[in-house]
Amino acid sequence: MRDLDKLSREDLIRLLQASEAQELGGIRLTYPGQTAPWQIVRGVQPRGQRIDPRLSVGTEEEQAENLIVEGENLQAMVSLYKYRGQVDLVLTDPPYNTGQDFRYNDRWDEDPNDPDLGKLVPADDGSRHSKWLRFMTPRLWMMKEALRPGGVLAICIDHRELFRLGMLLDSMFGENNRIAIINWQKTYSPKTTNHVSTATEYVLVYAKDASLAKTQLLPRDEGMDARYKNKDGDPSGAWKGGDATAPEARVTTVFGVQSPFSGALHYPEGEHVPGNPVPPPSHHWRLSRAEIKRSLEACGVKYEERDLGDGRGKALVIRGSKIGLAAYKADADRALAAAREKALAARATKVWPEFYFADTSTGLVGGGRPALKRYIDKVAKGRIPWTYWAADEYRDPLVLGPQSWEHEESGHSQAGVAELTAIMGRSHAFTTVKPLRLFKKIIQIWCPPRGIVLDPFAGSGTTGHAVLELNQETHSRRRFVLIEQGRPERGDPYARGLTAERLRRVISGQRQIGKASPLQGGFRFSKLTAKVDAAAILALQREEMIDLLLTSHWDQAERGAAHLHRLPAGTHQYLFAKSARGEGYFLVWNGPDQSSVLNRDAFRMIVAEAHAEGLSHPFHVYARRTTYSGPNVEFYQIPSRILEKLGFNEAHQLYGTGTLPDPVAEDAA
Amino acid sequence: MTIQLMPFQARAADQIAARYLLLTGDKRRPMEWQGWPTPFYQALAALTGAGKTPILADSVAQIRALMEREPIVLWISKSKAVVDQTLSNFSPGGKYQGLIESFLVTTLGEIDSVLISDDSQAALVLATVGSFNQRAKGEGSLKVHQRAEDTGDAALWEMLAARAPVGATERRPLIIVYDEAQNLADQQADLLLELEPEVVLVASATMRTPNRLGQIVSRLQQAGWTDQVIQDVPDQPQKGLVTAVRSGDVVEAGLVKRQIVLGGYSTEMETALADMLSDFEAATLKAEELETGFKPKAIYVCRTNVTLDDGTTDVASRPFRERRARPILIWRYLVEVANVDPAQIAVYCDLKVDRKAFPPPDDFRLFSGGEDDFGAFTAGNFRHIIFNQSLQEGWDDPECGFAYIDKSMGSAVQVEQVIGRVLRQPGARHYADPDLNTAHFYIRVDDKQDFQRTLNSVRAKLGAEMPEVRLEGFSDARDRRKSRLEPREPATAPEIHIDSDAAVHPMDEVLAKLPDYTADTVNTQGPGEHIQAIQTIGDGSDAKVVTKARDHSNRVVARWLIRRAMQRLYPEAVKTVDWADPRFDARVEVTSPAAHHLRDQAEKLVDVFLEHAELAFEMTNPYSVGAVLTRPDQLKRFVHSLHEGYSDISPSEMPFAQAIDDLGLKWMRNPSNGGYSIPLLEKGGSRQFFPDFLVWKDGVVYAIDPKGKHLILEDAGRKLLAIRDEKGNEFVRVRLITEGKWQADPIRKLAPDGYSVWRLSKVGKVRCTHHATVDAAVSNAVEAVAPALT
Repeated sequence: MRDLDKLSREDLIRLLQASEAQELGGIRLTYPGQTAPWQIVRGVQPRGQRIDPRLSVGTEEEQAENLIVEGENLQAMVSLYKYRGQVDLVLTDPPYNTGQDFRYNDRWDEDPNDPDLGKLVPADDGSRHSKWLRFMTPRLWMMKEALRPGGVLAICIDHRELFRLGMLLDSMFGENNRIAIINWQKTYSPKTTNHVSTATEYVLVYAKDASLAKTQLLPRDEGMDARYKNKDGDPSGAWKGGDATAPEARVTTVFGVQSPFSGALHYPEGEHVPGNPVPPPSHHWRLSRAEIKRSLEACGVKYEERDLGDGRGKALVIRGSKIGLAAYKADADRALAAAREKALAARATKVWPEFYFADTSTGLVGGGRPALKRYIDKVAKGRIPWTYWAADEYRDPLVLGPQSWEHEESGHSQAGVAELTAIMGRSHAFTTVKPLRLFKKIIQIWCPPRGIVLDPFAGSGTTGHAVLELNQETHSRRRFVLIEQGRPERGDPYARGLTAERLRRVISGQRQIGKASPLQGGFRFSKLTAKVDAAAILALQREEMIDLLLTSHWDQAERGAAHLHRLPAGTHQYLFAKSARGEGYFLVWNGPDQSSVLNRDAFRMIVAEAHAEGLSHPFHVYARRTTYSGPNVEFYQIPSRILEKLGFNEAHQLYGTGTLPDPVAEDAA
Repeated sequence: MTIQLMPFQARAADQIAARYLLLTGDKRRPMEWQGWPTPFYQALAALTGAGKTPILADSVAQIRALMEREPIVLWISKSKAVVDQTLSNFSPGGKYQGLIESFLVTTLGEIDSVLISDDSQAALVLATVGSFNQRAKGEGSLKVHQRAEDTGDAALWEMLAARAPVGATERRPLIIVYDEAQNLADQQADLLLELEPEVVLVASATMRTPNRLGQIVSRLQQAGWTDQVIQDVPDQPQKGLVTAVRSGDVVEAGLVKRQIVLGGYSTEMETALADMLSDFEAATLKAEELETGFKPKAIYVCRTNVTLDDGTTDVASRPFRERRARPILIWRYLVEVANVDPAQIAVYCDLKVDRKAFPPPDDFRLFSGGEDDFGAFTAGNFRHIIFNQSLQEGWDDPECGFAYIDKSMGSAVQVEQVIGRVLRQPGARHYADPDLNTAHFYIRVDDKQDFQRTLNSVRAKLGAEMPEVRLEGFSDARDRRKSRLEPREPATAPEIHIDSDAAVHPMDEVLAKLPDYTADTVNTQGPGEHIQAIQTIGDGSDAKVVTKARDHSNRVVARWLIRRAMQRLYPEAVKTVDWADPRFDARVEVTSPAAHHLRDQAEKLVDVFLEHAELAFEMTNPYSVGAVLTRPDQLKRFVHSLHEGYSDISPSEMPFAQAIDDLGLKWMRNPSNGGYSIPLLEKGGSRQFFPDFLVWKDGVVYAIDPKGKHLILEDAGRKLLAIRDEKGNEFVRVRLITEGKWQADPIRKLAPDGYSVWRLSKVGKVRCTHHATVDAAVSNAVEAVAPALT
């Protein structure tokens, strides 16, 4: 039994909550050590970032678009405050808890700030599901916090944790916001097993708010397009025949229409058989009388409006035709014969009118019912996605070398592994890599063309690769933020060795197997540093401070926008970066011991630097104090405005500057 | 804080919180019944653009700091669109999130028993009225009133009423916020009062309280509270039920547009649209040139499914190009005639289309889903929006400055309603070009009388609510075009900075004396007990007084406390303080003696700042003179003025304008807000001084203001006279002119005749010279040195 009087109030509350959780009633997921995610996250302190230019790729502008963060992902997500509420799609592949892929640090139960990844949780660990849930809960919470109001989470999982993850997400996002449980086929060759060979995995898709999220259509496939033809050389493009009628009667558009081919009288409900009664109207033409008449007369046949006594308004009949409701001998109708001749001639040589007569199933030209042309460029542009995604959609024949086929036999998600092998060579030891096309498809459906994709379990970097490739193929400008820590104890810091390296090669076009063209783009590589508080910020050197500003700065109006573009170090006294809008960012800071005041002299120097660079207003200036405020300057006080941009709450959090020498006291002395 | 509240906004929030404290500390706080003291009630009267939401959010955060346990806030709006927008503003990354950072923000549909019972976490729950408003809860079909075995033991509404925290005996306090209180019906009020809230905050443009809430109000009135609008002195809260935001503060702060221009068109649609689009293009270029950081937007208001000519219903089942519905005709005009990129146009209305048979063009962006489409619509950031009344409340984009009102909309009422949508000022500041500070209307009317009626009704409404916003009407498009006058030649004046170098040391000295409360456990605590009187209503018995030990309220960091107090008094002063001092790391209760002392020190810091700060002109930071708006029929032309003439010079100022023109120097009438401004170094806000006239002479800018009487009596006004650079040069000289004969030391009026010109002497003393005529005063004002004393 725990020693209750030694517990803090918070711990006692947690304990009581755990015990009362059962009494709360309802259907809910409970597990040992359950803590509300907002309580865990509250305890995580933001960290700074240090940019590693050697691991970053691309021009300064390209680097400003995308980001790879090396570090523990809960801390990283808390520290990426700039992206809070800005991400369009979280697409991630967390550990499946297979016994080989999931690590848990027991100290996280006490302190979520512990950077250690912990020990591998083996498949026979009796607490493995509790640990996995304790691990996932705060991270899923932060992923939700990162999403914009219409944002979507797509998370990969397999049979091992599917049920628990689903319960967790249902309670966190609300089951109304569950968009799909996608079942994708990861293999096409069954494994030998006693029971059923697992051929599929899952992607759980949740919206932050399903009413605001948007699911894009998939591009139309060729089969759908093949049904549209242009047999008459219509300048409006390929078309197919559609129903010329719509349900429900209307007063003005239920009249009869005589076919110039067969002479038969057509009502919206069907072809009239002479002698039969005309039924009460239940359908109507989709076009107006004038439009139908125009179509009918397009081949040169004259029509007239005649009351046939059917109670449906005047019918459109061939001028001079002997047509009647009770009896009609088409063969004896001279007017029809002349009309048929013109109609057949026009049929063969002219563009068909919008309202036309279809052929019969026996091939009689124009002998069928009226139809309407439907043009291909006027129909919906894509297919609605299904929840079942078959394997042939992910196999990418282009990069598969002949050696790769063994993976297919081993029954893993072959395409993904093959893609990674092609880029990195065979030594990567990954057996579960998501296929690129799976991720591309998800991104296409749930991330708008200028959106941001976040992957906190970036692993081999498939998400980043998919974004870059899609940008190239669809001329989109999606951006990615990847977080990866890797397994340093294996000598494998794989955020650098794998995530960043794969993307570097993807961008350069370098391959171990096969060939690929280079892709546009780049990324910034940064490493999570120690906790940031005021004391830590005030101890930074100029270049370190610039790193922090580049990674943390945002403007409310365009918070998720690309990062600032850094200028080469040492070129200016104050100017250190530009925004994409051409505004300048200035830092009055030369290390912790130097004065940092935006005064008259500093202002004039800033104006001079701005003029030299052709920068527009306002000037954004970071300094510790200003004694010369005026128009056209946006002043950011150090450290408070930096802390604010990291999510620091001044009303409740301390600066922790107590250990610094006290400049005021020194002055006074 | 991500958002820096304007001083007047912070004052309003502080006043609300201080009044809450006044009620909770009141021995005679009435009771509704045992266990439920009468809620604190406060109505926030704030007009469009005043920042109702941030003021309420900040009030809630301030009240939370005064509470003993973490509250639940139920924040109610009328429509889902407003809830969605508020949610996104309050959520991580939202623009107001910084104000309510301690709260977990969610919606009524998402809360559950876990959150309600977790009293270590303040929660802010957003809801629409519709989600709980139901007469008979028992058979109710609404989710919140249904018992839901899947999620807990009781209906959500009951759990919310119980608010039982885990392991505690007292329920959590509930704060109810309603941002459109004028719409609150009795039934809704009844349901809300069933929850037994501790605080009820309502915001409303009109001050009508719903009946049921009226009972609470009258109970509070019996206890001495009044519904008169009172402006409290800080730290001396009054028993007022209403906190009102002055419309003048809102205009001065640059939160709303400076003027509204209505143009009446009895011509066809195309003419009105063509005029608007050419003005729109010009404003877009100006916005870019002035680096405003925004692009203007336009709205087009029309009825949806009727034809243009005879008002009959337009048929959806016909080709797009043959349709006569107004949104389509406007869209086609924009795309086909005006060459607007269709990607910038949204049609937000319930327009009928036959997507199967006659699909509209692919780039026709129609949002006909009402509230459900609102999110996608706002995300699209369109620059041209065609809509009818269905455009949701909550959509009032500050960048929207142009509105076309179709004849189909009819009455003047429509114009009044649309004005609220375009009144906010982008970037919360006024720009050097008047068109960017203006809401432009292009209204199609039957005839000129019709337009005059519209103009009159808008004038009446505006005069009552926002007299500071100017209104102009043109029934002739040519007049309108002529109303904008560009300067005849370019001219600049150096901007004025606040030089506070000299304030640093004195402020540091104040800080050096700041007590260190970091280890103080006595002075940082608020009062230790709390007293309640229980009064049985109606039987005339004496109140029963109950005293009970009080839990301590939430502590805040001293740094935040001081900074906020300074922010409220003079925001610039905050930037001159080094906030890293570890003594600011003390945690104090806001009701403690330490907090009182810290607030006093904050005021002292501001006083010291203002005492030592000086105004300096900065040649490298020039202000460029822009166009002015005039009324062509009232234009007074001048010979030497920068613009052809002006129409806003009052009769009392006219002699000065004429005298200045007679000098033969380049000069201009300086428009207030958006014109050339000089900061006023005075406590209580961030007011700017807009001199009436600027005169250029020998490389010096003379800023002449003939209404200088109120200024010369204030310290801040006298500081205007001493604008120098570091070398003591004077390139901007402010000359205040007062009527009558004055003496400078001590300042007092001696005789009513003539005019006095005020300036600073070489040795820095205020002095004035007397002149018999306006001409003499003006020609003296543009002299560097005053003549010898007569």
